Amino acid sequence: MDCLRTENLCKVYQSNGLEVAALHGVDLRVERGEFVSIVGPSGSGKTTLLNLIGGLDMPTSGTVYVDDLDITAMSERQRSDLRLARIGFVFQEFNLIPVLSARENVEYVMLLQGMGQAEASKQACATLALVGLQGLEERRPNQLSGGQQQRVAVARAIATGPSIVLADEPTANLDSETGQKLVQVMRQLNDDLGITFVFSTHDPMVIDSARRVIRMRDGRLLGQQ
Amino acid sequence: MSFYSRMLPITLIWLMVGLPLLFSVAAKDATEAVDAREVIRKMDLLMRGDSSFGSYRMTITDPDWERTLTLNAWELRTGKKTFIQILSPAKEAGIVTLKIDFEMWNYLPRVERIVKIPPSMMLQPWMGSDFTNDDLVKASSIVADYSHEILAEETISGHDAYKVELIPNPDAPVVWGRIFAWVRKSDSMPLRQEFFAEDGELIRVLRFDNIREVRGREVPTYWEMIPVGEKGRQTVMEVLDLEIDAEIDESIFTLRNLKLNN
Amino acid sequence: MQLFSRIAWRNVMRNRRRTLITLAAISSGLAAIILFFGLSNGFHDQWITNSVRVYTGHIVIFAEEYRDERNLNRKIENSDDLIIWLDGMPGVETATPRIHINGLVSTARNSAMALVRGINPARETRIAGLRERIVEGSYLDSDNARQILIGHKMADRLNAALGEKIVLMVQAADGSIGAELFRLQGIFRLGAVDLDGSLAIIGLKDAQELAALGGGVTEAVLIMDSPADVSAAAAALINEFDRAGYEVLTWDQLMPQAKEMIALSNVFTYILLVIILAVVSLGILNTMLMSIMERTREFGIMRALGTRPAQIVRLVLLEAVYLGVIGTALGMTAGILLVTLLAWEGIDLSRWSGAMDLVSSLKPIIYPALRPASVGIASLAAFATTLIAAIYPALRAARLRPVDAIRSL
Repeated sequence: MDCLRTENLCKVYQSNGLEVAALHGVDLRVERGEFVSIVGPSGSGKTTLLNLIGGLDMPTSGTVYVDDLDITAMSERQRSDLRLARIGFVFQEFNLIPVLSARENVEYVMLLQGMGQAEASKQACATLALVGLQGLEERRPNQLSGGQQQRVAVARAIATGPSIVLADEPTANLDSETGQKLVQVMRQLNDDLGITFVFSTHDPMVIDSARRVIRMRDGRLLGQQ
Repeated sequence: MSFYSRMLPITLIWLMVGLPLLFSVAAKDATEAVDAREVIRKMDLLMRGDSSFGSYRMTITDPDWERTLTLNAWELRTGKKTFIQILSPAKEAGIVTLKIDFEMWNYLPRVERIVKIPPSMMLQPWMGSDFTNDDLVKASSIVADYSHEILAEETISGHDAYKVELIPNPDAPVVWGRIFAWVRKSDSMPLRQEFFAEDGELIRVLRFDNIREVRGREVPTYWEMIPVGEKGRQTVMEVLDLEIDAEIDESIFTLRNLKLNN
Repeated sequence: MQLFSRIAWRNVMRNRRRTLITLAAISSGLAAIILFFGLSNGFHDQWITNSVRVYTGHIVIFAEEYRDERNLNRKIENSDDLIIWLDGMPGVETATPRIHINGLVSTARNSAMALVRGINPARETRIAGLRERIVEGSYLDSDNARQILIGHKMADRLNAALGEKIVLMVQAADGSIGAELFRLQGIFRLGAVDLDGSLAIIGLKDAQELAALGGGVTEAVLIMDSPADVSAAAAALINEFDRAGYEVLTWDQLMPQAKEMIALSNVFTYILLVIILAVVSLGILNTMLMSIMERTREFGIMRALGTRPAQIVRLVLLEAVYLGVIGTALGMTAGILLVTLLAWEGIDLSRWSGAMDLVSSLKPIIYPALRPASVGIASLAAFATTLIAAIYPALRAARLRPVDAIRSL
């Protein structure tokens, strides 16, 4: 089963009365367990594509299937619930809720899903250990470095066992070494736990780690390697 | 025929018939207005004159008691002076009311003091009767302060009478909204008066009766004042003696005389 | 729920200064309202107490039909027995007989219409401190000393001097003219313009003789220990006197304008409450909007993660609840403290007592009064205001689209 599939995805924005096409008929297929990077210059439509895949936005035309569910036919509420249940997000920055500790941030999604506090706590600590942050569970985001924050975000993204984790330029604000480390963590999780990752980037170092690279330019997919 | 020559005869007829009609109506009104006022003036003069001296008996009836006072009253037209002395009963004997123009005093022999009646008390009962201080002071003139109109001709107590409506003039110092006065057609003898408040409510009724001759004059000798809203109350004035235009010493009408007279 | 309570609480504590300012706004607004209610209630209490004592007393007993006809013959006979019986009633501070007649007060030079009041001197002064209200001369020696007390305004008008002989002329019960001489014993100042200008006080027995009342009086007046006892006592008396031919009336029936004035005054107080809370709510609204704007990204992330809009609304409202509870608690405490402190000494208005004469206070000192109902209503209103002010910001936060929210930096 495909984890993710898009068919003829198009997105057109209205900007100051002008129409701007961000995506032109994107057809994409990602299988379970893949580690995909979407690469392209800024303005190529990477973020737009990820937003559409994640159900954060609706396409102008075309369809998106997550776990064979047509999310483009869903209501706002249904998409929100779907995100909660099946999709993990890692954004470029400001991923975490500032007033919650690392552990609590990771617990957040689990508690939203209805998990008990004790269990969520246990799971959160375990996941934080997986990303190498044991001992730092009670720290607030402002007590963590950039790289550590991103790792907490990753932990949160995977803690509930999502179908797919979407990361939009996760290393953009990190120095190269930290960025590398982060991707390594993600790669490790992909290898060990088989979690599907799709992330966008323009960092060449990151690209190297990916098993599959999809290039984009001007809203179109170019080639796939 | 032109339009105008057709209209002319009709116009003439209207003029010949209509105008006299208009005039007569107007004339009738004019004569009636004069009549009404004159009627009231005559009535006013009947009991007065340039001076007068009278003896009266006043009986006041109340649900809880009844009292009878006898009194003498002197009146002088010039200077609008009145001097009333209570003769009986004993508790009130010697009380004098003096009025000069629009001011009023009482002399109380019991405490040997003269008391001035302030304007705020003008509508209070005089000596506990249903006549007010103002009725005596007569701050208003029934002739000058009202406009008069004869409303109808009626028969009251066997007499042919005019029913006259008196409406106070705008600035008149009068507390009534309207007065009806019935006067005998032949000689303007007062027969009945009804006093209405400004909101139209009937407040009191003054009835005159027993018209007979006293010292050569025909006067009503029985005056009955009934306050309409107060159950069981009335005041009756009986004229025992009345002399009009008698010789009266002006010095009676002084504050000094109030005390001396006792 | 516990999750959001936690987040809400930490959000409130996040920006200490902003929170403190908001709390200050809520609590000072509430404290001010409580204080004003306290002053207002205290003033009303004082006014009722004093007005009532000076004019009518708490409860007045008349003979049936006296009030309809104002007829002196509708009098209470055997008032002595009645007064002694009333003394014994629980909750009664003082009972005293009175006679009221309209009459004329005259000096050698002037006269004035007056309301003549015949009193039992010993009992009467317990009602409104009449003895202490004598500003010139002295109090009545007895109830048949042929002495008279008049108000300072009447004394001015009559140009009367102490010791002068004054004539009192009335229409007696039997229709005759009652006139007696009284010696001007004292001049009083009750602080009520109408009474000081038209009330003349003489002894009860003197009044009975003057007006040929025999042994009767026109009314019996009761002062209760506390205004709160009045309605119960009146009801008991009405019951008791059902067949006895007496009419029992309370002060608010005799002076309906008093109650209406108080009701009107309360209306103004409530208007003030609304205004203050409206201002406070604008402040809160502003602060919360700022806070929401600053957290746009955060809300976006939460929504992206799958948080429902309703949950966001709940979160913001919870923050408002925390602010509201703390602010209200602080405000209540401050308000109650203020009122209690002021009630200790009272507020002395004697500097302005010229105007106070109009509302007839015995002592121009107001003791602010705490009433649970007032404090309760004000606090509830303050709390509600906080919540209401947060509604718009909450809705704004919930309506943010995740995409836009995340994009905004």
